[in-house]
Amino acid sequence: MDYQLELTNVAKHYKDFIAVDNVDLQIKKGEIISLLGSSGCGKTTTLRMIAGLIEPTKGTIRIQGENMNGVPPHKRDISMVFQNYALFPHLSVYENIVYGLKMRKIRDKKVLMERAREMMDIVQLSGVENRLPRELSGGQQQRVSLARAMIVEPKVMLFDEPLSNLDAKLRERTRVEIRNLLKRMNVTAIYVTHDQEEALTISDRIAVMNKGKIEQITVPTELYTKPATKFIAGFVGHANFFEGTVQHVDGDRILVKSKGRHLIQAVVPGAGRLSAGKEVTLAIRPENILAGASGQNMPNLVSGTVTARIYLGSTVRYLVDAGEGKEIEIDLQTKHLVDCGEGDTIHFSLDENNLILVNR
Amino acid sequence: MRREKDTWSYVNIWYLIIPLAYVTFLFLIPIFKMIYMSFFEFQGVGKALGVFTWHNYARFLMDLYYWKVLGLTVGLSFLSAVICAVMGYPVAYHLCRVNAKAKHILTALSILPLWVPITVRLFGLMSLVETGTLLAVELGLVYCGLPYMIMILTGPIGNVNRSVEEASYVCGAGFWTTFFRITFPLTIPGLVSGFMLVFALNTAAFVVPVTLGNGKIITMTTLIQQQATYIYDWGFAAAISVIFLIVSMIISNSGKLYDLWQARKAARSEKLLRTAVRGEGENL
Repeated sequence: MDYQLELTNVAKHYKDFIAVDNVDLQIKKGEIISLLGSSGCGKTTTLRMIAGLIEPTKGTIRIQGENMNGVPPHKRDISMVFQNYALFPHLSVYENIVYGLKMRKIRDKKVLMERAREMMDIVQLSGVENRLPRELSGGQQQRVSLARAMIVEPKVMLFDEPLSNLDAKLRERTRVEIRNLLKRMNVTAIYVTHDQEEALTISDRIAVMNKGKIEQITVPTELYTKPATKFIAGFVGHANFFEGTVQHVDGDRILVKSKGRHLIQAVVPGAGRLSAGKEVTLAIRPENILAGASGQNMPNLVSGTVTARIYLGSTVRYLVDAGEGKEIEIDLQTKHLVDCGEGDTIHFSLDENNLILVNR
Repeated sequence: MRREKDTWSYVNIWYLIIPLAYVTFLFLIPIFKMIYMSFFEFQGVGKALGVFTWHNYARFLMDLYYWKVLGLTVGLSFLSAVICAVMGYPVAYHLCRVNAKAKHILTALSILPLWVPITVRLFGLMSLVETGTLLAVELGLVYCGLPYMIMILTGPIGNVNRSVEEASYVCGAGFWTTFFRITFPLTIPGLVSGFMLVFALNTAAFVVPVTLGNGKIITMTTLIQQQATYIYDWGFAAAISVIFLIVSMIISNSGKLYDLWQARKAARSEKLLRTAVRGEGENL
């Protein structure tokens, strides 16, 4: 009952398609949660169900403990920032911003003016209050929609990919601004995005959705270092996967024989529940692979042929053919560059402490 | 506006000869002949025109009866356009909100009357109402104008971005508030063009006043027909036609004033947008 927003077993079924499948989510006051996933994973549907724009097929949505089933959007005391901003095209910036206040029966012109001014200062929009939305640049429109949603001090604020129409530089700056703003005003927010970087920057916790389900919900750092499933490891950042059979378990240390016939040692917490003969998937981030290793005493030594070398600025990514169709990505800091081009053989070792055990 | 010369195009200017010839022979020449005729004494079909005179115009303009006919014509069609707008709007609104399949069926149903010849439709109507009354004529005008109004309105209503309406809901506005504050204002341009279309069509309506007016309700069109085919005063008929032409031109072009006003606002917006975008570039 302490949660600001609580989803219990929420599902949305269309005729022959399950868009959202039994989603559970608890959000505390002032928390920012991202729903992260590729398109069609059900994240927007979930958001729209919270908004009341779509009725869930089953399950309950509670806002401050109050059951919202059957409550129309305008009675939920929420607000939303849309992907295309959805500003009212015929109303001025000022009228757009105070719209929600007027709907909440605040009629006093002085109060409206004051609150609008305050809000416009916060989002840095002063001086354009009499313009129409079409007279603003994309970034300005985005800020108007932010101001319009934030001015009503909603119980929950919903974001539907609000930055996807901005150019890269502005997007990077705006997401930091949005997070600071939300924290300053202590707003509870749900932020839908397909951009992992955006989710990592903005949120307190991230819920990764896949095929209508939440696969993992955790803080940004854990999501990257301890992805629960293979999907998440591949979706948030890059990862190399080794599927194989457990040969030997010793405390947290396991020995896995991969399908590519490599013997891999890994230190994974909770390995005790595994036993020899079990099929497992190990993942490792491209930057946790140490290339140029030649010392025979290094563990998990693998070699392969470089098939491509991709320059990414601060890092260089090598695509390596490790035999039997196994392709491995390795990221190296540009300043630690190994002298190695396409067609060359490269030796590398998988850092045993950075191998992650993931569910399929 | 100057065309770019290096834009390659299939369109050859000489193709325009065909519609031009069509318009010249079937529209411009008869119209000018009619205007010419309205300034001369008419001495009978097949006979030469008499002397130049203003009489045909004076006769119309000095007689209150004819002014009343003009007023009735404009009044009836204006009212019919109002009624069509009021009746057509909800229909068009729902047409735009149902799923695609239902939309096809309902659209077909709403324009179904247009597939039946107008006389057939109106004879059907004649069996329901007492002909020769203002009510009958007005009913006929609304009946004829409604499908056009619905068709025109589905465009702008369908163009209202649904997320704008949703934004209004989540801002705390209910259905009716959203409708009157957001949806309706955004569709006013469409309403204006639908209104102007029905207004103009019904001012020029002929079959409706003939069949449902039954000779008792005289509008401009039936008046012209009377003068031309029963009384054989082509000079007077031509003068009435010219006056009517001018009135209908004023009516059908008054909608343009609204368009012009909108265009001016849009131009101003564009200017402001350019400065806004430039400003943003500097901020970065």
